[in-house]
Amino acid sequence: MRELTLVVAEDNLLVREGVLRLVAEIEGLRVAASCSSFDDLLAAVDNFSPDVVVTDIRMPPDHRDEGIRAANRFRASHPELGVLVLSQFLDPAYVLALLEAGTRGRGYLLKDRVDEVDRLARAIRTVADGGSYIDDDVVDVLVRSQTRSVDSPLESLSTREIEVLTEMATGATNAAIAESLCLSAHSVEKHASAIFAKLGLAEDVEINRRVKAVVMFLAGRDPAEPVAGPGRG
Amino acid sequence: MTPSPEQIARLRVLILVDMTVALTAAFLMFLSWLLWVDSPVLPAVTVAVAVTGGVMARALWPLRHGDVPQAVLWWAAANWGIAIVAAATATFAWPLMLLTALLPAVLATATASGRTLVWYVAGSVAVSTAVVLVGVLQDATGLAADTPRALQHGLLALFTPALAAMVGLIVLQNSLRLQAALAGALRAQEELAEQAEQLRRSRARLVAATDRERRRIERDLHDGAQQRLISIGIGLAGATSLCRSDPEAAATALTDLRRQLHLAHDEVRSLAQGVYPPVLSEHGLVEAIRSAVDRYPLPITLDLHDPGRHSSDLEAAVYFCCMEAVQNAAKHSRAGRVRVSVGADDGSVWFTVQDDGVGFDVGAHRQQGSGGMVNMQDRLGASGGTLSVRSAPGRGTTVHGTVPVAQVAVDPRPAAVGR
Repeated sequence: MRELTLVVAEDNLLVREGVLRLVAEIEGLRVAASCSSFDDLLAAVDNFSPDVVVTDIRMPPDHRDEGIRAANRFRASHPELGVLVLSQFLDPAYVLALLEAGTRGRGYLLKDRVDEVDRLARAIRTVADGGSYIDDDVVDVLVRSQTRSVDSPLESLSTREIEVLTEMATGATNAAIAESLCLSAHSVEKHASAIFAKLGLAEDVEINRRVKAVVMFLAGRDPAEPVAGPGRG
Repeated sequence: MTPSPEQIARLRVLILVDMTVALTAAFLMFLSWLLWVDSPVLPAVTVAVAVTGGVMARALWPLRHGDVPQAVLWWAAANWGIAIVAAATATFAWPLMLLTALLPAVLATATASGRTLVWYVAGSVAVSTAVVLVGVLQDATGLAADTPRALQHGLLALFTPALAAMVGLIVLQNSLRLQAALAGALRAQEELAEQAEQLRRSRARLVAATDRERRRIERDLHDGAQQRLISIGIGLAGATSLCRSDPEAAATALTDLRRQLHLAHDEVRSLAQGVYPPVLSEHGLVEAIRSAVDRYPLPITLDLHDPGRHSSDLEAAVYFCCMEAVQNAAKHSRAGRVRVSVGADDGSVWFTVQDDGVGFDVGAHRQQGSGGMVNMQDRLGASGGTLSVRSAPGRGTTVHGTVPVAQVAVDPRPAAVGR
């Protein structure tokens, strides 16, 4: 496991110190810098060229969506950089804002989960490797909300298929889904094909594009948007 | 005092009547000169009176464009003119000319105001005085002496009632008009007072509701999250002592304490959502409602059409009323299905919460003036919106609210990057 350099951005002192302490427990991670504002974050990334940024959403100067704006900037300026957003917002809207510029190397984890060190480590490594990680609590809200919508296309899916869909939305690979749901990899592939066919989505083997398609679909947005950014999307 | 069509019509009638009186007088004078009175002055006076009739006709022209002040000016000039001339020459006619001199003042109270009115009144007073003086104190022309007594009395008897009636009629019309206007103004005042009272009561209710909310939040925090935090604190103390004696047990205790902490966090987050959900100000109504509805263990169907971004007052009003309606459905309706819709059309944002539950008697409910519906009405009313509730026992309930979008285009906060 290669050693990853991190930059942590969080304006609340207690939470920042807490995250730093947790990260220190994880093998193979080294914190290059910690910062507490949007401008400091941009400067730190320029100076230290980390592998991963772990950031809050709200920060000075405006306390609105600085973390997400920074992530979108890094898409162009540091394409290989992974960004893990730590947020207390359960609302899927924030995840969607993060993913609109592409899902590659992007993750969203609820702050209340940050004490689950294994989960934190997995999320950091996933985005460092260019994968996507979406907190399953947020995905659950998204799925529930979509099943509630009038004329929901999810009505045509079986329970098992909805489970697989949920796992796909968290950014899991087929292997990970198979393990999580106790299925064979082959079953997962079959389910995935069926789901995409029923929902009328273009099947995409590439995991990151799949995540985006599924998440956008669940949010009721048109998933057929060109994926921004270079590389594998 | 913009002239109404009725006013113009009445003035036209008045001028025509006055004109008729003048021309009749001229005719009678001409007749008198032919038959009974031998005086060189009479023809001159007759012509003067006929000219007056002509000037009054001239006063009718401005009325065609609705120019009342001009018409009144011409007509007043005609009246005052003939009053002085006739009083000076046919001195026995001064009582008639007195009435004639006063007519402009009486009419002006209906058609003029301010300085103009003062001038007309002053003019009438001046001319009236002149008429009396000139009629009583002199008789330069000697026409009075030349005119037979019987004729003099006949003329006075004939024309006095006509002129007096004109004065009376104008006064009567003025008075009726003023009384009607006064009654209208009083009614409007009463309506305003009642509206003001309703507004005051609505404001008081809103303030009371806000206070109740605050107390509820304080209570929820006290009973919920605070208690949990205290118990976690105690648990941590216990776990600390276990650390040395029984690390395994300590690890278990700590795991359980973490779980309790997550629950406390959820509660506080819920509370914060109830105060003002950040997702509402950041991402708008659809996302906020979608999120909030997730927390209800109700079978809710969503039919959300993005109404776009609006002022925070409007979005808050729609959001909280919609959620209150959902809450009511959750608490009371025992529904099998609740449908929440939101949208915008025609300059307003609307929401509907519909359930197929037990329903209630809207009329009886309203009479009790109970909190929930009045609260929603007040909230929406404060943004200029309206609420309608349709329900009947056993027939489910539909709550529908709309809020108009302000005319001035509100610039929504700059959207987050990536939209």
